[in-house]
Amino acid sequence: MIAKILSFALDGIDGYPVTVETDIGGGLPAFDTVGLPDAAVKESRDRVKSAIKNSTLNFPQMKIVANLAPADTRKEGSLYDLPIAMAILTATGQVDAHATEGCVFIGELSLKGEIRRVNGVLPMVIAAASQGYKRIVLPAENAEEASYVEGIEIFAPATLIEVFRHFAGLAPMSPVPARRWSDVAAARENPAHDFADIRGQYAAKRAMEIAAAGGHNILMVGPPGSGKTMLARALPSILPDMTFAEALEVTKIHSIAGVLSGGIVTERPFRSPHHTASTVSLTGGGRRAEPGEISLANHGVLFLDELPEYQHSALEALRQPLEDGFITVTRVQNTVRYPARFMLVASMNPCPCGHYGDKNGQCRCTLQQIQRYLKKISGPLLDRIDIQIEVPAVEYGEMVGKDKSESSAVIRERVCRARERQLERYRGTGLYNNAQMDSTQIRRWCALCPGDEKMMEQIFRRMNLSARGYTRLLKVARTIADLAGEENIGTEHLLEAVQYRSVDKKYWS
Amino acid sequence: MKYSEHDLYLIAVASVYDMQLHTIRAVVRAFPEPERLIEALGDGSDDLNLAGEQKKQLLSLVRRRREVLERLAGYRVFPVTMGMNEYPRALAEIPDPPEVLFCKGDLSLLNSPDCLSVIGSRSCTRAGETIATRIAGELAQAEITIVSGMARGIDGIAQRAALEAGGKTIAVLGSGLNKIYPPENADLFERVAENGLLVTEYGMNTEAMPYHFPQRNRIISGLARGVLVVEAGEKSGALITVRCALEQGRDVFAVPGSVLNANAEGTNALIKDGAVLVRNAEDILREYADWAERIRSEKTAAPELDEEEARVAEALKKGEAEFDVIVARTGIDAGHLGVVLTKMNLRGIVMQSAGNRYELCIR
Repeated sequence: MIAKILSFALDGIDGYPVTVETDIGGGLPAFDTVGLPDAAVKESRDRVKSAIKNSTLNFPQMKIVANLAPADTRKEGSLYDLPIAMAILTATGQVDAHATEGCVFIGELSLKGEIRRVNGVLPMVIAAASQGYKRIVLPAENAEEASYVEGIEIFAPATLIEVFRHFAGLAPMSPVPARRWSDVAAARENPAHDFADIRGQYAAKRAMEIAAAGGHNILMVGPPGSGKTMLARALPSILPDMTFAEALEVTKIHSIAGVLSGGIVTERPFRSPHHTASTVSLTGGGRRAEPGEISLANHGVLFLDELPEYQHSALEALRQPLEDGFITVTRVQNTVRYPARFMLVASMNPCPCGHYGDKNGQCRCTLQQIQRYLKKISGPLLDRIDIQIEVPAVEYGEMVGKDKSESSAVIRERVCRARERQLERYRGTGLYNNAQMDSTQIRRWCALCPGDEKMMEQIFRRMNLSARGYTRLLKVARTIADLAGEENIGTEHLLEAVQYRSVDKKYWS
Repeated sequence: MKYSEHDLYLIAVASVYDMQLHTIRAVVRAFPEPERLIEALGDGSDDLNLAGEQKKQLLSLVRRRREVLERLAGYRVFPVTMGMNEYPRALAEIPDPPEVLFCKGDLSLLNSPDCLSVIGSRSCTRAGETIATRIAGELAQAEITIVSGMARGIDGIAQRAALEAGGKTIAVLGSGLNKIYPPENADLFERVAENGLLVTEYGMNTEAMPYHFPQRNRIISGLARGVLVVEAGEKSGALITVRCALEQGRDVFAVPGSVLNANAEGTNALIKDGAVLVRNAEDILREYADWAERIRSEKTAAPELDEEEARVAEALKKGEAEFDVIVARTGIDAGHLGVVLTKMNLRGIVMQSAGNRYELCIR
């Protein structure tokens, strides 16, 4: 007797259908899985056997072969437990073959017959729905993330026996109610880190606003305890809300990496890997070519605290994705492309001891020590960071009571307007924001009047700015103009943009 | 320039690889006539305490002493001996003045009456860098020639600042003019050759040797009216220059530092021993009547400030302040204050320093 059950597998962030075939026939009792299963899939034999037995169902004492087709791609993880169990129940006639036709099964089984959560459910549900499948059975714990997908009926049982009863026609389950994005988006909570809670740091907050508005990467240089981390954590709160498409993409990646808690991701991700992180953990890879921190930070913020402390190779690996917005992870078995469109927020001390530039002059680092420290960050990486600011430790004693910090919501309002202006301008060019402009596009969108060009020449000479900082300065000036709602870049915008380049001159000249 | 027969002889002797002052003197004392030397070297009866290579070189250079001058001119290097008019008068009065100075650049600087040495630690701090840049720049604007050793750290920084400010500088080297040391200052070497003067007592191809530098230091102090030490540890080489300066009757100036800063131990000790405490260029210029006149009087001519600029200037009256403090004091929002400060910076009304701090450059 032969039976066929549908399931799904993952290739990168996309799912593709897998057919689980079982043949039950004569011979000594045995149970084999074929079709390039990994260890977790092979072990599913024991789980499936116990789960069927402990669900008071009948496990046949015959020779069983389970084949996962297509047979030439590697099958990973425990999600085939449920489809294999269903195939056996169908092949033994306990479930009618017509009942499971066209239905997709995903799930891990416990020995008792409970259905456990698996990773990567959302991308598989999306793929199933887009390929025209009408029904899917998946673990109850994965129900929430899947419930935003339209056009497919989702069943989320807690145990194997529930699935059996449903398809045997004994006790039908009701599908999981569909959730709508607009409902969750509206129910969003206040951000945990609000700009209103950060005292002072006016210059840094303004720089953050510009970075958020133009999608610019930002580097903060300052002594320990000056509030760099707090500023970085508050950045997502002034970024525009994610669109449904963005949220789905983020949730997909988080689902694959198994870091999803609950349903769809509504907040822009904020990832801060420790500086001991390996290159692979940042870019993605490993045995199963899993997404790395830069992909987990997709559409959000990647915060690298103490930038010079990261491994040199890890930092250099960021250059390509910073440019392209995706990363291609190549492993022996397969090549996977993960999106990695993130804002890089980096912070560092100004010198090894951290106190260079302090008011009381505690720094005793020698010039050579400082230069060696700064050289850990390569020019090409710095080239991809448009905004570089100093965040000094300021004594706010004299400012008590005078503080009038804006809330994140107010700042986000301005950021959103500036972003809309950019989307309007770049319609049809494939750009989303100012940070993405290349040199041709800069010439087109950042034209200066002759007087300003002369002034910039003078500024660069006087302030000793590097020539390659010029294009970055223009991009930032473009964003400042967008924040101000101006069509063209004006003198004011250029003069302010100079502020966000002064670190360049002082530290990397 | 006029060279006597004796000058040519001296120059040929000094051109030999790694010739020390005492050896030059010994050679000339033992053989006042070049012909005698050639004879003695020829038959090996010279008794000179020199390495075989050096003797060979000495013989061939003295034989062709006229060509030596031409060869040097090919490198745009002009030697000056103690007997010549061009020889710095200031240097002539010190103990052990160099017999020959190989010069490249603006020779008129040799007798400039307005020289000050700025020296300090090779491993200086960022603070030291800022101070050296500021003071050397201000001195250069007062048309003081900065003399230093083009070394790593303070020396090179001070000389760069002088050139940056459009001033003149003299670099005294511890190697021949064909051997640039330290290599990272090769660009500075070229700039000084253009806009200043390079000086050494060593022949063209002589490598920098550790024992050259203490010797070289007496020239650094000797060329100037005084020596300013910006940063110096307890055993810094800069203190050797100070010792030379004291022997030569030059003034000693020092910038104080924190007692916790190891790089200020030397300078603080100098101040305790009576060196003039220096906070800015004015503190030095005031010490000399003819320099005091050069203290910039423009400071009194206040530039015109608009309403916002005046508010910023008011906020900075009490001294330097962080960007954020200026925001709090003036009430100008951060974005616009950036515009105002950049403008004021360009006009030279304020100066920005590390830690995003600003200070007023006008009174």
